[in-house]
Amino acid sequence: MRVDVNPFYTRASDNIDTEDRFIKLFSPEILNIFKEFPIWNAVNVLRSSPGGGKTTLFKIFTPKILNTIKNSRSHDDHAKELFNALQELQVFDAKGQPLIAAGLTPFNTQYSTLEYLDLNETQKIRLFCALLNIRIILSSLKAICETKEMVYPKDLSRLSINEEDSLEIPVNLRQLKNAKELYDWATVEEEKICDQIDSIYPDIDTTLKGGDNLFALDLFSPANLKIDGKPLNMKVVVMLDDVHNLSTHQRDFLVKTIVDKRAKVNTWISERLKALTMDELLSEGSKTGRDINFIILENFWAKRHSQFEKFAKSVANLRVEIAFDAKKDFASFLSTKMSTKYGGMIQDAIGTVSTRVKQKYGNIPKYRAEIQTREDSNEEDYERLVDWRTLEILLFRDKNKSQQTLAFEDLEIEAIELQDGNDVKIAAQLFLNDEFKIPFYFGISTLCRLASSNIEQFLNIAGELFDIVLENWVKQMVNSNHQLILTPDKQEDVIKRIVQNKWRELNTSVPQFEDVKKLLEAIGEYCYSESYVPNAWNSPGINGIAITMAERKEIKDSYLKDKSHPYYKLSKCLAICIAYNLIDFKLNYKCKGKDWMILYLNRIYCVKYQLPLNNGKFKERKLKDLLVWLNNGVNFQKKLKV
Amino acid sequence: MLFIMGVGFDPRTTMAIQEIYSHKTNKTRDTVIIRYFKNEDEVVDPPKKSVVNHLHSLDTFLQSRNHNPATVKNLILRSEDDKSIASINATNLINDISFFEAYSDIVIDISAMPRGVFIPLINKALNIIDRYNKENSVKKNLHVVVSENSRLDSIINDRGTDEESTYIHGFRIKQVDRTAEQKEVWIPILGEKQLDQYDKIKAKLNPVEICPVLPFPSENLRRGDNLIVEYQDKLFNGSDFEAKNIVYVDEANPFQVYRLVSQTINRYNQSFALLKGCKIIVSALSSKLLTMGTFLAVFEKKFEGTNVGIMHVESLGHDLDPTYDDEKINIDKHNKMFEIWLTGEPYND
Repeated sequence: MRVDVNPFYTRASDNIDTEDRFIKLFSPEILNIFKEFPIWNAVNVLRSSPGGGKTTLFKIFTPKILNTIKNSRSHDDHAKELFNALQELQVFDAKGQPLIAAGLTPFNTQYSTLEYLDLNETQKIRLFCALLNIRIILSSLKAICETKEMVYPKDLSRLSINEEDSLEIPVNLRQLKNAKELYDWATVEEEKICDQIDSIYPDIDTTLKGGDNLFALDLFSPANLKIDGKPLNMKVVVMLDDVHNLSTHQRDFLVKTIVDKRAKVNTWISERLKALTMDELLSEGSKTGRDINFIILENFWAKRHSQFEKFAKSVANLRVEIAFDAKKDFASFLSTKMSTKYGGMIQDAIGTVSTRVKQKYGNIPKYRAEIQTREDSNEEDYERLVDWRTLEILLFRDKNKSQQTLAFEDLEIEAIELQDGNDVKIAAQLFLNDEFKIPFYFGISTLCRLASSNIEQFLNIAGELFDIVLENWVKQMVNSNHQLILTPDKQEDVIKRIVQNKWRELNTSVPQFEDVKKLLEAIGEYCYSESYVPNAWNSPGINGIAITMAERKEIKDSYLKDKSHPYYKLSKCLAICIAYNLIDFKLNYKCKGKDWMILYLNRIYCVKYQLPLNNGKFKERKLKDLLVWLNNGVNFQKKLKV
Repeated sequence: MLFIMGVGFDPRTTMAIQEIYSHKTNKTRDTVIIRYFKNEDEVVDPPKKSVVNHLHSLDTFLQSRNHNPATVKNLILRSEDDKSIASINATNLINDISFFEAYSDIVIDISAMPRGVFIPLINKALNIIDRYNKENSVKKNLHVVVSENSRLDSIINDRGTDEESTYIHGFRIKQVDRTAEQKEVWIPILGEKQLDQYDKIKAKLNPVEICPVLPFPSENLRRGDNLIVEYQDKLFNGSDFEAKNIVYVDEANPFQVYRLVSQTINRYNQSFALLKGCKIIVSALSSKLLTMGTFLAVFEKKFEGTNVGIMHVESLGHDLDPTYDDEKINIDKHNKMFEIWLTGEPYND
């Protein structure tokens, strides 16, 4: 069994042997997806970048897990919570019996190998369909047995599935009396096909029949299943996982066949964004249509950040519970109080900023009251420093505004009312990070933002932070005064190191990264130059750019289809950025009378350019500007002068 | 004789052919060179300087000895949709026995061939020649030659690895419904700077036992210990590893690797026989010589019907550290040539 010392490195989708452990790590928040997208639509297509949680979501519906939840709910609160959430989705009936039998069919490289063998196209597709039909049959039969707690494969003789009149089902299978006979046929065929795929000789086994349709989906329609002569009363769900492992040709064939077929069984598909065509990548991601849902997990969470934060926190807390064998809040380890080593530095910074404010604005009567309020403040040092820096921004804004409207307005004596919203405060904290190196990226909320709506990204960062908590835990055993918590500066150090490593890894994991890097660096540096301006007019700062929807249409419909087009390279880079989750995008955003496609940097890379992690602020750019950035690089000047 | 060799950046590319062809003979000597291309697009790109130099020196050498010019075979490593197809294409380089018809001896030089290429290539050649030898009284000989140099290996860096691990074509374990309940046993042959590959392979497996293979005796006697230190996090933090499972093999003797890996596979097969058998996955993360020993064991066991396979992670490219140019003489003096006679006359019985 796989046991990680740090449970943050255990992925629920990995080969976790015990159902109990999987359930312990599963947070029910992710099931909220099906509140928006009708779960029992005929086809659910789940898409995300790696680590979005697709396989985990599939696994919760598999029979062994459902049976464990059913049996544990009486003595385990977490299982009870899961049971209730699943019952709401009609996975369990009122008596607590599972209403579905979900068989998981993962795609591995065995299928894509078929595509490159020395066979003709017809042979390839026939073998592909043959193998897939068999795998669907075997996984569904197993799922039915496990759900009904029957012995697999012995008890399959009690199951009859031969009453479907679909003409797609081969004649020889229509003559089989029960599922055991179907099982016996399938296992023999499966071995033959696997041997054929791994064969080093090109000769094809002539006894292999194959086909060009997915008849297995017809076999398991609810009306077609009887157990001991009585209706099964259970939905069979066919879950096809990791479709991105197929070749482009196979994937296109599969998705088209399933979507067109509108099969009578529920068919779920999961795939990574990188498998999508350029056209699909730049289209509206999540949508629900007649009998079919296209769900992009990151899009779902991006629209509901507070829900994602709740989900991420619960995922983290479940792992902390496993590590310490006690309920503890992961957030409590991530201190937001500056460590003592910053005491002197903050004091000096207060001196620097307050002197600067007083020198520049102290002799203007209308600002005196605001300055005096900061002087008299009893808040903690860091809060005082942020207040001073916020005031500096606001006074800069007000003074410039006054100069533009009325030259002598500075002489007004009446105190001004400053609009110091949270955005300006965040900008002030960023400026302090830039000027005095006082930590900015720390705390659980920052961590959730850094995840960019991807739960694995969250767990990777949280895991490295938790490594130090575990280290502190060992030290605490030796010295009881040793604290478990991580100071903000320690958190920021770890986060910056992770970002650096992740950036370095992109070099080998992202295709055409030389070009992609240029584009990302240009966007990052541009956002930096626009965020770090004295009046912080884009407060808290920008972390995205926008192109018009008309330009996006050109990319999708013309540029990407013409390799010789001057905008092809740029368009391809943008598509790669989306496929590899380097940028998030939002379509049809209305602003200044136009429709925009906003391209936000993945939050984790915002750290590299000292950008804020909030969603929202962006700046419009023309596509031709991006082309210049890509071809010639950029040299933006820092505008912030203090 | 048919001499098959890869041409890449590796400084050892032409070493074996120059050594072997320097022995005079009046018999035919034909050469096939394999050129690697990342994808179809790269075929038309100008080759790298190191490749141009090797091609040039090879041409000059063959001409000077009055041998036929080499036949070039292109090998595409990745598909249009960026999937690894190296091992499939390497298998398809040789169609049938007609490829070897005119020769009594076939020599495959793996000095400049990546694992994902030479394992399937030798597998296909060995299969075809074994079949031929069974049916004919005049045997064909298959030799593998390799120039080993651990110092040089240590300054060759992977330019990234494939996203996921995969089985080498022809060496996939049988993962069918009948074997679904079988437990997995993993035998990684550990080598330096392969932690990323180790992680990616382990992520795909769920072994009940891990049997790491370490080099001992070795030129650097501490090499095995250093490897344990390098892999300590991975090995000791997993509940599937026990120190007594470590297998020590002579780093310069592929036949000892073959014997010990074979014995290990046999032992696990016997132990798991009562539990519906087991799947044994072998991963060669070490030198080419040790990889050859591993290949021989898996080849034989697979032939006997054991459920065994070779899993690896494809490298996306390699770089030779620039320090090589300064240290060339010092490093090259450690080159050692090995020859493994795989099938033919000595195996008549």
